[in-house]
Amino acid sequence: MIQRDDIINVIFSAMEDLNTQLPQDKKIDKRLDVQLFGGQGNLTSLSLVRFIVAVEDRMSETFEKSVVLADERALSKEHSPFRSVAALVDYIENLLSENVDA
Amino acid sequence: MHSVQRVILITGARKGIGKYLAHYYSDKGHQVIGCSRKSVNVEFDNYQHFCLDVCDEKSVLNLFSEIRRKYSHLDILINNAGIAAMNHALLTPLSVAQKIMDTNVISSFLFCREAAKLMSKNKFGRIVNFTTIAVPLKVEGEAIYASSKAAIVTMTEILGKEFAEYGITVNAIGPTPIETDLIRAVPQDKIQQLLNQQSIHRLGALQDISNVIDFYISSQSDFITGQTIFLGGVS
Repeated sequence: MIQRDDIINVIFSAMEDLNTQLPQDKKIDKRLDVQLFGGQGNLTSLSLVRFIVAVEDRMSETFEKSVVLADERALSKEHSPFRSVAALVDYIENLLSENVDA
Repeated sequence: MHSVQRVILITGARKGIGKYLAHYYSDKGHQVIGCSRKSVNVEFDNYQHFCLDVCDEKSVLNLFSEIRRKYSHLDILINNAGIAAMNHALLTPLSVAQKIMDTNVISSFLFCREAAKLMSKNKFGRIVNFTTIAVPLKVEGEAIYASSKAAIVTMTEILGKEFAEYGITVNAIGPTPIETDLIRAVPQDKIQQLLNQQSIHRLGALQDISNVIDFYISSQSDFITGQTIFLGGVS
């Protein structure tokens, strides 16, 4: 059973990965309340793509589960799961529970 | 000359061009992963086969998970899987049109997307898509097939731009008719009409295809992306 903390660790690990590619003033803090994309978000659309790919990759490595984060629902949701780390954790938890149920 | 061993994924590897390419690159010492809907009867060195429907997202994701787990990376994707159908537009069932679009366009996109995710880790990748000379020749009876392959040309050009920053090139090859299962159902006079429109009036050979792919996947071809080469002098 994958715990919420495991998901947070995967996301933070992907953030570390992304931060190595970002300039000093654009690096993102590893906090749940940090804004990712849109509004006060820290990521450009290109960085968001890199970040999503990094999270999917880490999830595949860590949990041996293939997920596509940028699915139809994620892109059409009024409150994007990519707006903050906390929202992304919720979204992934939901996605994984659906996979288990399927 | 020493060449690097690459991990190469070939879709539609059970027969025809895909089967030839699987043997060709395996013989060169590369690790080849092939996939097709049906299983293969033969086993050979450096080759692993997966049975799956290339249009099924979940199966494709599982394939890439397996590649990631076993080989940790992917260097080259040869997006060969495809279906052809020759029929007058007025006699083409919607289900056939849908199937051609799904297999030729959607599955190619799906494989490009997942391959690029895996390749981006190493900042290196080569993707080769398959189109056809039916696109520039605008062959009657191939409205849906040629349209699906025209989409591949455009997709290749755009993905070439989108994936460039990850060190991934995306190119396409457009073969002439080649002696494979795919054209056996096509009447001989229709094939001859096509050959007459080529600059070089002969059927293509499998070696003509590997020749172009060798060029695209070479490590020196890192400045070649978004391009389509049609065989036989068709443009």
